[in-house]
Amino acid sequence: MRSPLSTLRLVVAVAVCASAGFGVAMPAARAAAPMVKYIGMHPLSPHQGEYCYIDAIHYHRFLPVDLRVYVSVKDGAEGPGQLYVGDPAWLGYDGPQVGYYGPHPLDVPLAPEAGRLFCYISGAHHHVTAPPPSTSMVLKDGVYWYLGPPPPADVQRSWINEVRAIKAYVPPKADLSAAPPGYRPFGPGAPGSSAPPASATPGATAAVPSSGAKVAGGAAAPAAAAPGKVKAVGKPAAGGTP
Amino acid sequence: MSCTLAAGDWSLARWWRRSAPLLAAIALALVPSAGCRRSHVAGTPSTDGVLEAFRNAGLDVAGVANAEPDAWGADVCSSGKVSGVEVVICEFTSDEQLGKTRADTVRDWNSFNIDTGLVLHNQRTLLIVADRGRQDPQGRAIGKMVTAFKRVQ
Repeated sequence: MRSPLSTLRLVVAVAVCASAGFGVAMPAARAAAPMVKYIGMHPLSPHQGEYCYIDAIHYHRFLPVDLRVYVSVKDGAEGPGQLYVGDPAWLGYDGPQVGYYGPHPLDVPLAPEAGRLFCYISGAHHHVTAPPPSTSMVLKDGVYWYLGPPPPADVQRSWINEVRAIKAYVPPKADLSAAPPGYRPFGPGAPGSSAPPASATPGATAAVPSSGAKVAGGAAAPAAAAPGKVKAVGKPAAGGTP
Repeated sequence: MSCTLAAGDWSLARWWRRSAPLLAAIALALVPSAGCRRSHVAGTPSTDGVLEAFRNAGLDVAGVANAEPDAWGADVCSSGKVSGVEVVICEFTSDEQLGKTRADTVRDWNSFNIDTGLVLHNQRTLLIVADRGRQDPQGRAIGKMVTAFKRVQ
């Protein structure tokens, strides 16, 4: 009969061998996936409220799960990077935030190589920082409004308005009736559009463009807003956004 | 007058003869502690200054110690765990070497089991952070390090 002590030795030996085996196998398996560069803070997969709070260029082992909320910035040092361009609070960010309404220029100090970027979110939303001082950005009742020329039409970027926020999301309190003088609405919430502005649907991230909805900047570039073109291009996988 | 001076010289000599052993003992006692202090690279935040900033940000830096800088092509380095995450802080005299170490580090991450990596410089001081085993899954500790590191003068 085997003594309890020898049984214990056997169990320990098996455990040690198993853990050693994992230790060897895991790095090789994990290292097979290259690191992905992220520019600043971003939601974590599967977009159900976990957020990465690293406000610098950094690397993870995983790819972004929903390309509607990312812009791929090329030409940067150490390769292209993924920049989150959605409302951070949509997907779990709980830090300080600033209210915005409608599309506006997006300031990205971490990636100057990105050039001039626009946020294509229609309706009320947040960003982490206030815009740099500009005559075209007006602060009214705690919300920034963009009064400059409309952003260039970009069908794929306008898909960001289809992303749905987590249940806890509360959009900034603002709608078109609160717009400052001279404000010209862009995108699906604009007059004449069949889709309501985001603030009309609390809990949702933004208006969901209908088949006849204009894309951001549609007034300036109506050709890009043709619904047939959207379908022809096809939509990316929605990922894990709830 | 000359007699007074001679008396003064004699007093000084006697004081020196009596005090010399004591002064020598004090000097010897000071030598080891002076040897422990590292000289830092001028014109860039010191590793000690960065660690102090981390400490002030509420991070646990007890696991960080002086490290061999040659492995990083640097002049002064400290490394260890900060709030469970592996950290290396190095001072460089050369911008070129700093850039090379930075690029090599990012490239090498593709061969190692790292979940999150960050490399950031402030003047000629480099901060390398590697999270293995998802010790800081939301990057809150790393985020604090980044904020504190950027503010160090």
